[in-house]
Amino acid sequence: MRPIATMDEKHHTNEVFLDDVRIPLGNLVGEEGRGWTYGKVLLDRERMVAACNAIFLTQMARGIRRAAERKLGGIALIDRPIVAAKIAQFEIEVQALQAMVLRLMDEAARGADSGPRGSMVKLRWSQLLQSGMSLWLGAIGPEAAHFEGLDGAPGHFDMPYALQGALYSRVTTIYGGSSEIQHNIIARRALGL
Amino acid sequence: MDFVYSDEQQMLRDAAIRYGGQAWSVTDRIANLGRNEQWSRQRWAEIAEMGWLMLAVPEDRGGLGGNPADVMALAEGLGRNLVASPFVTNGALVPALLTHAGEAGDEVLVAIMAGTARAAAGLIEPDAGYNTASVATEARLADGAYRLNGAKAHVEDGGDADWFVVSARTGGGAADRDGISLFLVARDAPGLVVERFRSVDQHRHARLRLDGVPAIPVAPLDEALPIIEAAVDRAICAHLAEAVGSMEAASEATLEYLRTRHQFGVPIGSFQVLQHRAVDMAVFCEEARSITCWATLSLDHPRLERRRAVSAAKVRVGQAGLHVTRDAVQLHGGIGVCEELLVSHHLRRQMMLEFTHGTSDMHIGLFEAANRALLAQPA
Ligand SMILES: Cc1cc2nc3c(=O)[nH]c(=O)nc-3n(C[C@H](O)[C@H](O)[C@H](O)COP(=O)(O)OP(=O)(O)OC[C@H]3O[C@@H](n4cnc5c(N)ncnc54)[C@H](O)[C@@H]3O)c2cc1C
Repeated sequence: MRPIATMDEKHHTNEVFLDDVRIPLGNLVGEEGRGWTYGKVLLDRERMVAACNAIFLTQMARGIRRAAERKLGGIALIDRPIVAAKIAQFEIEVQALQAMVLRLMDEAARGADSGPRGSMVKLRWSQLLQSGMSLWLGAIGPEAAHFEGLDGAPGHFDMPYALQGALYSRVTTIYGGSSEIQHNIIARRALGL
Repeated sequence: MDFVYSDEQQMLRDAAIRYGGQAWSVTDRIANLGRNEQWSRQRWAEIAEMGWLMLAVPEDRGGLGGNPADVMALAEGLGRNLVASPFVTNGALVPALLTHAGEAGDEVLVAIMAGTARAAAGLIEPDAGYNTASVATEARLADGAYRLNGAKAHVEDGGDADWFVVSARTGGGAADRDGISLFLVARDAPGLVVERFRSVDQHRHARLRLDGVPAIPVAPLDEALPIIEAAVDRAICAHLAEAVGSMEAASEATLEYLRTRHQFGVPIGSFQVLQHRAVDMAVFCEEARSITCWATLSLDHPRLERRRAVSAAKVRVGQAGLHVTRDAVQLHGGIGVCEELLVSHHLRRQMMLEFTHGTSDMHIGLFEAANRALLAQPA
């Protein structure tokens, strides 16, 4: 295993080398040669994890509001129309996504196959995570540049999490089937193109 | 310049690109930047040796007397390979702040040009955002010397500075445009606390606390704000040029990846959807370069026209830089987020440039106010 350093400065990826690794027969998952089929089911499920995460976007919206209570020249950021409108737009989109997830779960509970709508949820969740992180970071202002205190200097209380989150959010449109691939899946399976 | 670089400017840009390519390879950068002080000092010495820190300093003060377009050419070249030395702060911002500084300023300018000292500017305060007119730090004259009391929330590139150019009040109330003066403060001055920070683009910044710190005035008393605003606009334009160099490099690296990376048995560049994304990146680069030229040419125009142009460019280049480098990472797929490729370093730099000398949200407001005032003027 070799660690892969990523731009968010968190360690969450490794390169894994397999060199004549012996595996007991009993460890074969299902049948030989059907790995990709199983993989696709797995990825479909993974996309539903995105649906679970979508529920947490409401918490994020609260965090953004909290950060935007910061006063600038005596006026809270959130009281500036340009900032308030952006946060409200974010919250509206989060609400729409949550309604989508609830509808999906309702149908799943009735035994219906969600089809490629899991892909739609993954697509929107990753986009909203990215735009939400940008809003949060934007609310911090000049101190967004204070990622890490040197010689023990105390940083802004939202750091480094806001920046690591903003950087990490970029991978969510890449992993688990990239956004481009999700579009392909929806085009093919939902729209029949 | 008009919209085309002169031969000299072209050469300057190419020299900076060549230098960045040689001295700032990805491997050297990852191994040393932020880890090896000696390495960073060596890079700074090279930048001084090239004479680049003399470019924007007037000839009668020992510099090369370059104009904003010359600085644009150089900063663009440095941006191509993400040279992370504090060139813009030392080579554009501080010299412009010290325009009226006299002898005290000359000493610092000479040291900067020689590469023996670095300086940075403390212009923004806690809870004031980027508003350089909002100054609560006080300067008091006692026994023929000034002493400063107050705080500066963020000093761009101040982490390794030997000198700080700091704004402070000698008159007026906390947000008045009049009554602001500029002072020179030594890094080791008594009463000065410097807290240092590293940013994700590996620039190093500072926060200052000033408690009776001795300081030397370096601008006409009470009248420094116009000098500060003009200097910051020069720094903004130099950063925009850096951003253009960086986004073009990221865009070109992405094109190369689209041509060479195969998936599903074909180069991914053959997928129409990715072609269109690459086209949008190229259009953004074109737009960013054009509006950067326009803003750079406006630097010598009357205040409102300059404000309108520089803020417009700050907003649009900021948007372009983020769009281009986010998509550069996206179209590289998993490898795009890895440290070992420069593409995510470009994204990190563009993210931080968005916070340098004002965010897009702030500059949209400044643009709107300036544009409104200009439109209200009789033709
Ligand atoms: C943080 C992280 C965690 C990961 N975890 C795992 C893991 O646990 N297990 C695992 O197996 N993998 C994992 N991956 C790998 C991940 O699945 C791949 O990175 C992802 O599928 C993209 O593939 P790629 O990196 O090869 O990009 P490429 O295939 O090179 O894609 C480059 C670009 O081309 C686009 N593209 C590719 N094909 C098409 C097409 N047909 N049409 C339109 N656009 C296309 C992509 O969307 C992307 O934008 C992880 C990746 C990351 C970043």
